[in-house]
Amino acid sequence: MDVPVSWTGPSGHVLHEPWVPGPVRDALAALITELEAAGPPGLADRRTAFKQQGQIAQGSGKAPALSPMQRQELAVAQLLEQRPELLVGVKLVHAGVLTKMGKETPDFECRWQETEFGVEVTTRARPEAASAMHDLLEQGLQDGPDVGVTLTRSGKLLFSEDPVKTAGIAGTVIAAIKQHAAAAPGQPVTGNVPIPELGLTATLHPLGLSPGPACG
Amino acid sequence: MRVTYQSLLIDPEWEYHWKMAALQIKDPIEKKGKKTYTIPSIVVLDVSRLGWAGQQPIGPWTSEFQDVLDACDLGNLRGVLVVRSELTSQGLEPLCWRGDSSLAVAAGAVLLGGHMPKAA
Repeated sequence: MDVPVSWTGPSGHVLHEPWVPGPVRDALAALITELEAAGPPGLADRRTAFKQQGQIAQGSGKAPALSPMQRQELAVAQLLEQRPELLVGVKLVHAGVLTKMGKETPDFECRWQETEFGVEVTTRARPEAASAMHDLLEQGLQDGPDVGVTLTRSGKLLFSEDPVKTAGIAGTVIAAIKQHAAAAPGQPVTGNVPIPELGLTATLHPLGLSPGPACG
Repeated sequence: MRVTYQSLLIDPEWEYHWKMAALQIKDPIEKKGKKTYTIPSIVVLDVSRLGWAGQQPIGPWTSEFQDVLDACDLGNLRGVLVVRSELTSQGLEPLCWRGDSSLAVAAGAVLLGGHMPKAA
C-alpha cells in the first residue's frame, strides 16, 4: 500500500526511500487512507505538515553541517513523531467524535454527546544509552571492517545521553575499531574499546563468534 | 548485524531505568500545559520510543510513570493520557492517565474504547 503522493510530494520524502520497511509504510498508508476517507476540516494542513517534515533535505538550511545520514535520521524521527498524531486522529474518526483537525492547539477538536473537547498529541523519544550506541555502531560499521562487536556494561549505568554527544562518542569508537582492524591486516580482530562515558565496553571479535576469553 | 547488545540490566538497574525514563515525561506535559487551548483539552503523550517503554511488557514499572504524572503541573490541561503504540498497529496501549474531570474520562474512553488504566 502506498502513501498518497499528496502526502509525500513527488520526491525527496523519506517514504520514497527503498529501505523504509514495507509494514511501516503500509501502516502509515492505512492511517492516512482512513483520514482521507473521513476528510475532516483541517486535513489539508496536516497533509502539508507531513509532506514538509518528512523531507530528507529538511533541516539542511538550519544546520548545514548535517551529513546526508543525519538528515535522513532527522526525517525518520520527524515521521515517527507524526505517526501518533495520525493514529489518534484515526481513533477519533472511528469513535465518530472528530469535528476538526486544528492548526494550532489542540490538534483535534471533538464532540462527544454534549461535550466539546480537544486532544493534543505529543511524543517523548529518548533511546537508552547502550541501545543508541548499538544502533550507531551498527550503522557506522556497515561497510567494514569485518569485525563483530559485543557491547557489555562495564561502568556506571546511564539512562540516556544527548544524541549529539552519543553520535560523537560513536564516531570515536568506530575510528578506534577501524584502527584495531588496520593494525592486524588479514588477522581476526580482537580487543576491547572502552566507552567510559556510557559505562560500556565494546569487545571486538571475529564476525559471527561470541567474544571469548582471549578478547574479553 | 555486526553489533550485539543484550540488555544487561539487573533488577535495581531496571528500577533506575524506569525512574529515569518516567522523569522524561514531565517536561513535555508541562510544556503542553502552558499552551492556550481554544476548548477544554487533554494531551496524549506517546512514549513508544522512550527507553524500553515501547518494548517491555506492561508491568509494575508503569507506576513510575504514574508517580511522575501525578506530580506534574497540568496547567491549562484537563487531563493526560500516557500511551505507547506499535509501529505497525492501530492500537493505543495506555500506561497511565490523570484527569480531574468527566471530560478527561470521556476523552480517554473514546480513545481507548472505554478502558482506562487507573482512575486518578
